[in-house]
Amino acid sequence: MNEDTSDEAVMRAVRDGDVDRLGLLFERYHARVHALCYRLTRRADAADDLVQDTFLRVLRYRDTFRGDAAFTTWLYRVAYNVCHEHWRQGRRDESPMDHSTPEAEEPRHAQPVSERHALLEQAMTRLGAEQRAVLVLTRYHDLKYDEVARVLDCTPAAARVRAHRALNDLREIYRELEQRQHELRPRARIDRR
Amino acid sequence: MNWNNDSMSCDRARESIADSIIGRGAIADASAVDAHLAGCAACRAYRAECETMWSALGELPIPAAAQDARARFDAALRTERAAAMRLSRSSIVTRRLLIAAGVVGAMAVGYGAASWNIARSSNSTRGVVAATTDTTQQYLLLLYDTESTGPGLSPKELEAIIAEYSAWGRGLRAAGKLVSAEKLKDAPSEWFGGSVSIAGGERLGGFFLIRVHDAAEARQIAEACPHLKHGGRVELRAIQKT
Repeated sequence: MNEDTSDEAVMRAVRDGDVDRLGLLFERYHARVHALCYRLTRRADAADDLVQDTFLRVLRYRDTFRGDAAFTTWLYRVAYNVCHEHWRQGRRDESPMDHSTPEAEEPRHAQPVSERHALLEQAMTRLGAEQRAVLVLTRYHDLKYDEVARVLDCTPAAARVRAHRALNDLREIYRELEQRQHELRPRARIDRR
Repeated sequence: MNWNNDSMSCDRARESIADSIIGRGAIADASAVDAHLAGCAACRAYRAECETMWSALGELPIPAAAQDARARFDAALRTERAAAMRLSRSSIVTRRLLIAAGVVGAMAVGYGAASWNIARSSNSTRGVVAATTDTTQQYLLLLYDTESTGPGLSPKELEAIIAEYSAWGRGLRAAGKLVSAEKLKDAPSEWFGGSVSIAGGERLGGFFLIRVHDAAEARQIAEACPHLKHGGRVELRAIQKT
């Protein structure tokens, strides 16, 4: 078993008792899982912990890996559940997955590079948890509807509907934020005079 | 608004547009969507906005993962492995106790004195089939202690499972199927002529010698053994008649 060994083969080895191999999967995927957790929770520090929780859960529940789907789909499902539980366990001092407030940014929050990006970030945080998840999984992790369905534990048809609604809602929220931004600009100029 | 004579509604067109953007691929009804877009400015705007937004999503920055992520994971992995080892040892001890419960149930002579054999049964026929009374077949059920990293049992759960093993053993005895049952000591084996390894570090924990009419009945008894339900393994071997 080497660096070229497939994810599924490595995970099967982990499942069958060679748990040290999990380090290889951690190396391959911890950055992607971190990005997923960050985009779902909007908290960089929490994302670091959630990555650790995700891989430890992979270890504890390795027996449940059947190998009938891509390892990444299974991994993302574990990560999604960890993020969801993180919110449900009442860490109220941190941003919940479904109603994050952009004002509650912590020091390591990635800074948007432009006003448009800032609005888009804000629009993403206003989406519901599953809507945000479906966009994150398709946009950043290249998952197809049937894979998203496995992660969110729904049917591919339901995943598709959620994706459509998420895209529509994101567009609506973005337009609303953009409109508000335009309305505030003239007033700001007047205030400066 | 769609003023064209195309057959596609705006809702349907937008679903396909969303599919093409989200799925980054060709859509089955592309020509119908194109025909719709040719006559629907609102849907053209929808597509343009969604495409721009989708592209911009890819430019949103994310913070880097913590630099000590791997070191933290390795430390957590070591802790988990140590815990799993302790749990595994605990599980083996638990299963040995359960095998003992089955033997005790079968013999009803008390834990620590769980021993019975044909020689003794000649003096006591309480439900135990004598070895030479008929032409039935004898089978050996070998119960193995399987290593496990599963969750530990609460005292109440353990008590319930012990009762289950005990009831199974009593049932065999009451049905007159039991010839002998023994729990093996937990002491290390002494090997002569080389050791025999069993996958997964399993060890023979005890056995039940049964007397039944045929192999099907023996299998039925083996399959009902609670050892299977609780993660142990059972081997069924027929005794060669001499």
